[in-house]
Amino acid sequence: MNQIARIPEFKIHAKKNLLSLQGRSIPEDPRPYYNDITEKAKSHLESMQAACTLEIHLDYFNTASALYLYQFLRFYQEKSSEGSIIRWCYDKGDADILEAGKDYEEMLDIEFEFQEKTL
Amino acid sequence: MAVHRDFIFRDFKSVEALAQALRDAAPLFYSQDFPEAFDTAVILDKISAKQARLPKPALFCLTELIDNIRKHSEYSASPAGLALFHRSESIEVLSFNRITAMRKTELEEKAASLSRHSLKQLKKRYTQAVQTSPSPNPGLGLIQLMIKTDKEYRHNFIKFEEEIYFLQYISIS
Repeated sequence: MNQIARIPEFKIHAKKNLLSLQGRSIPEDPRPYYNDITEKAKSHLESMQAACTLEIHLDYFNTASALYLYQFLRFYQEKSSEGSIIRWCYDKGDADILEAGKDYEEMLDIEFEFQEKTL
Repeated sequence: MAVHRDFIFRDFKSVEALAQALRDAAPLFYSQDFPEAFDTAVILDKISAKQARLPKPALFCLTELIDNIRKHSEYSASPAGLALFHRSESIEVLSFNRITAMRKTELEEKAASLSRHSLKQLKKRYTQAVQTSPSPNPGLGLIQLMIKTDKEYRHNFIKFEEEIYFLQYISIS
């Protein structure tokens, strides 16, 4: 039986110094999930002490997640080493996710790297 | 039966009659006697399985509507429903759920305030709320619905005896 996805998949690729968040984010209470990935990201960033990449490729998300995603991005912005980047991925033609990335870029006042993914 | 925004302003004798009218009219209709039984992920998966290539704004809006049914339903044993009409050029969604008198007042005030905003102002309010809200903001879902539908959002409150039901309508082109 397939598991119903409510939260995105968070992965740490230690060798590449890459953190990735992929999928949809629609939990009723996103706090425990985003707290958990923040702790994991914190451990990784503290152990690496080098420029890192955070790759985000979301399908869609609820407004509750939007708040916690912002806090997670802000945490990454503050705690990651100089030269770290946020790569915001979106499927080809997905104007909503692209726009969401532009919004976060503006809210955080940093430059994202945008990457279009071909379906 | 053609469904449009006026549907939520029609007269219904009971919530059962409202649910039946939607059931008869909508190709996709989900109803529960217990709003808590509405599971956003499960319903979205069911809709996506039946409605291929749902536009992304529709997924954002459906998420908020279903979440709102759960969050705004203080009465556990009252029917709630969601109807989806997938037309060639648009998607219309109607939802209903029972709310308290206090919640009705809150929603009325919020909706009235937001409806006066332009899309640009709504976007600004959305990003401000995301940046400043320490916890989930109850008005954020409503702002999102208005933005994603280009303000093709309508709501109504219907009273059946002493029970107040909140009806929402959105249209996505």
